[in-house]
Amino acid sequence: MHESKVAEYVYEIVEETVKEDPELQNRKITQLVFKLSKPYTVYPDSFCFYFEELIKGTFLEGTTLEFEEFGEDESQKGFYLASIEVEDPE
Amino acid sequence: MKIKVLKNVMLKNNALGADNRWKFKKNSVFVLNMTSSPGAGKTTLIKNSLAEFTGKYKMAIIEGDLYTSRDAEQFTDFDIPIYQINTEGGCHLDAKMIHAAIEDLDLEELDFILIENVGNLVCPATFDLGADRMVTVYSITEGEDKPKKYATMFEKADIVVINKMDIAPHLDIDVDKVEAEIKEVNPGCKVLRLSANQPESLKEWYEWVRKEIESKSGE
Repeated sequence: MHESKVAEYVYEIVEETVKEDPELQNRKITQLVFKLSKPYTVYPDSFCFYFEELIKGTFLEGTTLEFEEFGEDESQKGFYLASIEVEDPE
Repeated sequence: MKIKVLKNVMLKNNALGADNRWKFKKNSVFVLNMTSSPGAGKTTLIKNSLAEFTGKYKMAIIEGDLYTSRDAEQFTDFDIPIYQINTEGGCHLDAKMIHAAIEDLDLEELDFILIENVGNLVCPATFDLGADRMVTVYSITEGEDKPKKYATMFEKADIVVINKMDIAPHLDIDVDKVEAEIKEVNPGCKVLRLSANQPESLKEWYEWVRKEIESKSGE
């Protein structure tokens, strides 16, 4: 259930990333990709439930969420926002 | 077009936790985060610890609870600051809540802050509050198999207190097996056995707390 809090953190990180990166501004965000390690401290199903509720009516509404596990050669532990996919400029 | 971010989401919480930790260090106050399942005995252990330590050290309690102030009401006999946090359904305390709490406490005047987290063996493990140590209270009525089932909590604990030892003779439980499993999950973890409602069984616990407070105040 702490995923509701984690959803808020992710929303803030996306907002900040967009603010800092001119390339992302005025572009539709289509997908957020997350990476996570085992044992999970954030459960994707639960996270999606809260996140989709949170982004209704915001600039992120309609964004799809993708989850990947960190590979064995990667040292990160935990739950990361790995990348943001945006629509190509016209 | 894909933009690489690779940001640890929990840093949102942990950055504030680090700020709390810095404030505690600056004021030489020892902070203990108490976690457990609901009903494992945190409040009873705190009550007896208050009886032992108030007068010796300047203490405060940060009390986490979903909706009520029932636990905090049990501490009103002690003349110490109690800061109540109601999470309104939230399953854990986070660093931001502690950040707000310590704005309200006079850290310079304190030696020891006890944080009673929300009763939950899962979520509080993920949120660093900035405390110096985390204790997990584990009552033997919870069964032998929990340390591995709730591994994150036991992995992160600095000390596990096996509680309700007074009723062990009436239960079909092998406490050695529980302790071995805790050590398997977290080899460096200290384990104590006690009955929180029986102050005479708490000597080792008091001793551990006292040493932690003294070592923090000596820094």
